Amino acid sequence: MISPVVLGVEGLRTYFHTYEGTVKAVEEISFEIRSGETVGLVGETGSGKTVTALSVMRLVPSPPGKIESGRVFLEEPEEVQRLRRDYDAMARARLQQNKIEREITSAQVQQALQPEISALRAKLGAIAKGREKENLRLQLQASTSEFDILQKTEEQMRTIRGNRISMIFQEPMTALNPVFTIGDQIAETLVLHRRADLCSEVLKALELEVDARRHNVHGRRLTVKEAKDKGLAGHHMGDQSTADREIRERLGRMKDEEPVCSACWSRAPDLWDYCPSCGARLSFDLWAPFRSWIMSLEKKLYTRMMADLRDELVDFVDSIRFLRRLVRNRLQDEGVRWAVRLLEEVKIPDPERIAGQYPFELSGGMRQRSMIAMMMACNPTLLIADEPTTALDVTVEAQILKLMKELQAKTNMAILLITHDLGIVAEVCDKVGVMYAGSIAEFGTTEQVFHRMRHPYTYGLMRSIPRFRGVASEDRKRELYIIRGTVPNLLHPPTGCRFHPRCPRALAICKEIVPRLEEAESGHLVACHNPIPLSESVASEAGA
Amino acid sequence: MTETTGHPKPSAESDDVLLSARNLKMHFPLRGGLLRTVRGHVMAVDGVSLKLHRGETLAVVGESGSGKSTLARLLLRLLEPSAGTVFFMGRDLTTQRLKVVREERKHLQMVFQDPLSSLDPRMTIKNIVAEPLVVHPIARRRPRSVAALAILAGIVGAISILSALIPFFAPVSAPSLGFPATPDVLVVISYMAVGGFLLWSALGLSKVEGRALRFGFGVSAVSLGLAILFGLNIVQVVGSIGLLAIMVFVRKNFETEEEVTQRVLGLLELVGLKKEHLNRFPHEFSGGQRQRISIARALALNPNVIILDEPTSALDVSVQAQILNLLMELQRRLGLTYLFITHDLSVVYHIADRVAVMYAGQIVEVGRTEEIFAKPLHPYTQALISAAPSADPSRKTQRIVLEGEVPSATHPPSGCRFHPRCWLAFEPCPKVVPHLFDPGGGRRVACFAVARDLGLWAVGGPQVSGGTPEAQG
Repeated sequence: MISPVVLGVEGLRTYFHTYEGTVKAVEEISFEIRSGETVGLVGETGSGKTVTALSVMRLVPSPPGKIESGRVFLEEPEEVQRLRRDYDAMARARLQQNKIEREITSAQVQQALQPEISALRAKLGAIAKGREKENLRLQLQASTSEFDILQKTEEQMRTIRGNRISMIFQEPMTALNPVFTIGDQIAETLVLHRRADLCSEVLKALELEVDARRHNVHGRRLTVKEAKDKGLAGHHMGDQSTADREIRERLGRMKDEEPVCSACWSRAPDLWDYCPSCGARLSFDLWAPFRSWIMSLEKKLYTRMMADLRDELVDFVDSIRFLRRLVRNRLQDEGVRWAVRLLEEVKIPDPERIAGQYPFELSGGMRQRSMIAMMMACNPTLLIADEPTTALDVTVEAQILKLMKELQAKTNMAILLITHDLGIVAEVCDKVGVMYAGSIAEFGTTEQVFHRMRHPYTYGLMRSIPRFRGVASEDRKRELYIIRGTVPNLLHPPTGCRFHPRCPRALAICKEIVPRLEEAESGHLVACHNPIPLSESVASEAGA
Repeated sequence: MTETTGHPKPSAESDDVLLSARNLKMHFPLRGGLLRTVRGHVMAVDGVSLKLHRGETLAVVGESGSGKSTLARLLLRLLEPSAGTVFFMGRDLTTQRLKVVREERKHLQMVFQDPLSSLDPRMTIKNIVAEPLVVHPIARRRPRSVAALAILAGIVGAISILSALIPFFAPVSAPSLGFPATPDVLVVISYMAVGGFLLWSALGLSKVEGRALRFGFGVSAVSLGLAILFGLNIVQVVGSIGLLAIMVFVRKNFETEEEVTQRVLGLLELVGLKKEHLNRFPHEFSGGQRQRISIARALALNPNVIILDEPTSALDVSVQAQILNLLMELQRRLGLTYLFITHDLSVVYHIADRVAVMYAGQIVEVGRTEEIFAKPLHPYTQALISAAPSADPSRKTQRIVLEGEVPSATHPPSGCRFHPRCWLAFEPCPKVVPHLFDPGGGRRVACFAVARDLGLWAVGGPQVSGGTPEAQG
C-alpha cells in the first residue's frame, strides 16, 4: 500500500527581479513527497534548494522574489490528483493534435501521420468518455484552488504555515527570539495553532479546581527540601510501606527547590492555586466566591473557544482588556506546561529549567532541539528542514538526526531535508533530488542516485567527495575527481542544459535544448541528453 | 618509570621535527564584577603536546570548542600561551621577542577558514599576495627610502658632473677638493660618466625600474675601471667603490615592481589562477578562488610549514575537491609540511598522514591515520568516527550516539574530560587526568579503559605515561 502524497510540486518557477536583471533561481521543479517519507534535496550553494523550500512555504521575499508559475499541492487526495492528471493529459493531447493538424497541411504527410492522429483521438476519447468535460473542468478548478498552496490567500497561508507545514532552519539562533524564554516561545506557537487543544487542557485543569472546591481538600505547597526535612511525616496517604517508597523515589528525582503538593507529593507549580494532580487547594483564597463566578465564565469561554474556528470569539476577548489578560495568561501558562512536555519529548534533560531559559543560554544542539520541539507542537504533516545540522558538530548532528527519525516514525510526517552534505542524505533520506543551478538534475531513491547515478553532475559530485569508509589506505592520497569550472551565475544561466559548460559528456544538443526529467528506470528521473550508461556508473561505484 | 620517552631535549630533538609544542596551555581569564577581577578561566587549550615532522600532514580533529583554532594561534604565537613552549626549527618561539618571532613566521604561515574575511577587500589580488614580500625584508619595497636614496644619488651625481666641468672654467679652485687641476680629457670623461650614471640611476631609483638599476650597476663598474686606469685618485676610487656598494645594497634589498609582479604571477599560477586576476578585488572571486588566493599568499615567502585552519569548511563539495587536490599537489612539489585543522573526518582520511584528536582542550589520541581510522582506541575517537555520515546508503553504520554535549570550558569535568559522556568510564576516570601513553604501534592515547584492557592499569595508577609529564589533576 502506497502512502498518500503529502506534497506535490509541479513546474515550480521562482525568479528574483533585481536591478541587474532577472535571477532565475528555480526553474521548472517537480517532485512529490509521500507521508512518512524523507526526501532530500542536495546541491551546491546557489542551486536553489532553499528557494524551493521557501516557495513551498510561500515565504520568498517579495519583491524581488516572485513565484512565476507552477503548482504546489498539499495533501491532495488521490482521486483529485488522478482527475487533474487526466485532464492535463487530455489538454496536452488536444494541443498536440491541433498543432499537427495546423502545421501539416500536405495531404500526403497527413496520410502518413494518420495512425498517430487516430491514436491521439482514441486517447482523447478514452479520457473524456463518461465524463462531462465542462463539469470536469469546473470541478477541477475548484479542487485545484483548494489544494494548491500557491492560490491561497495570505490569511489562509497563516493557518497552513507552522500548522501543516513546519520548517526548521540552519541557524536556530536566528529563528528563535532572543528576548523570550524557550517555554514562552513554544507556548506562543501552541496558543496560535493549537488553541482548541489548549482550551481543552485548560478546561481539564479548571475542572480539577472545581472538583477540589467541591471536595474541599486542603494541602500546602512545600519545596522538596522541606518535604524531605519533615520526613514526609503525617502525610495523609493510606498505605505507608509501598506508597512511601514510591514517593521517596519520586522526590529523590526532583530538585530541592521544586514545589510539591503536600497532599499527593507530586509536582505543584506556582501557576495554580490548586494541585494539578490531586486538586488539593494549595493556598488561601480570599477571592474564592468571586473566583468561582469567574471560573464558570471562563469555562463557558473556553468551551466556546474550542469550537471557534474563525477567531471571532478570540477577537472579542482580545478587545476587552480584563478578559484578554485572563484568557491569554491562562492559555500561555497552560502552553508553557505543554511546552515542557514537548521538550521532554525531544529528549532535553531537565525540561522545566530549559523552558525558563533564553536561547543564548543554550548550546547549538539544545537550540535545534527546542526548534524541533516547537515544530512538533503542531503535528505537521510536512517538515521542511533547511540544513538542520550544518551548524552542529558531528556527534550532536548524530543526535539530532536520530531524534528526527524517531519523531518521524512516531507521527508519520513527511520530511523535506535540504542539505549539501551527501553523507546525511545517504544516511537519512529515502529519496533524493540532486539540484543544479535551479533545476533538478536527477531524482530517485537514495539507492538509485548513489549507486546507479546517470547524470554526469551527480557522478562528478559523488566522486569528488573524500570518503573514509571502504577506502583502502593506499588509495588515500589519490587525486579527487574534479568538476571543472564553477557554478554559473543565474543572472545569465547557460542556454540549454545549465550544466553543459562543465559537463564532460556534453553534446551539441545540450547547448540548444533544455533536457526534461525522464524516467531512466522506475522512479528514477534524469534530466540529461547523454546520460552515463548504467554499466559505467555501477562500475565506477564499485571501483571507488 | 613515569618517563619512558624522557624529556625531549629542547631544541636538538632531531632534524625531522619542524614544529613541536610541549604542554601548551591557553587559559583566557574571565573577568567580571565591579573591579573586573578574574572570576575564572576559559581553558581553551589545556596541556597539548605535539610534534610536526618534516613533510608530513598532521590533522587536528575535534568538535567546535575543543580548542583546535586556539592551538593554531598559539603555535604561531598570535596568542601568548599561559604555559608551555613551542619549538619551531629548534628555536623556542614562546620566549623570543616578537621581532624574532616575526622573522620565524616567514617559514610558518597560516591559511584561515573564511577567505573573504582574511582578505582585505580594498586591496587588489596582486597587493594581497605581495603583502608578505613587502612586510618581510626578503623583498622590501619602501618607496620613501628609495626616494631618499634617489635624491642622494642625484645630488652626488650633480656635484660629480660639476666638479668635472670646474677645471675648464676655474682651474685654481679645484685642487682643494682633491680633483686634478689640469683638464685631462679622459679623466673628465670618467667624471662625466660617473655623474651621468648617478643622475640616471637617481631617476631610475625614483621609478624603481629594474632596467635602470641593472644599467647603473654596469656603469658604476665601468667608471671604477676608468678611474683605476686613468685617474688613480684616492677620492675617486673610494667614491666609485662606495657607489658600487650602494648599488649592491639596493639590488639586494629592493625588489622592483616588475619583479614583484613576476613573483606574484608565479604564485598565482602555482595555485591555478591566471594573469587577468592580478588586478581584481577579493569580492570578484568565488569562494574556491578566494581560498586559492589565501594559499598563494601563504606560499609567498616559501614557508616550511603551513597551518591550515579549516581551509575547506566554507566551500562546496566540488570546490573542496579542487582545493584538496591543490594542497596535495603543492605538498608534493614544494615539500611542504601541513598542520591541517578540520572537523571533517573524510577530509582527514584523505589528506593526513597522522591525526590528533582533540576533546575539550586536550589531545586524547594521536597516531597514523590508517591505524586510527581502522581501530580507534579512545572512546571519543570511536564515537566521532562512527558519527561521521558516510555518503553510501548501503553502508549504514551503527552510530555511537553520544549523550550530552561538549563540556563547558570554564568548568571542565574533573579527571578525564570525556568521562561524563563515556560508556567505558570506571572508577579512576572522574578522579585522575589520564596522560597520553603508548599502547603500541607508535600511537598514543589518553584513556584508562584502554590501559586497563591492555593490562597496563594496575592498582595505584597508570604504569605508563609520557608526553605530558605535568599532571594537572
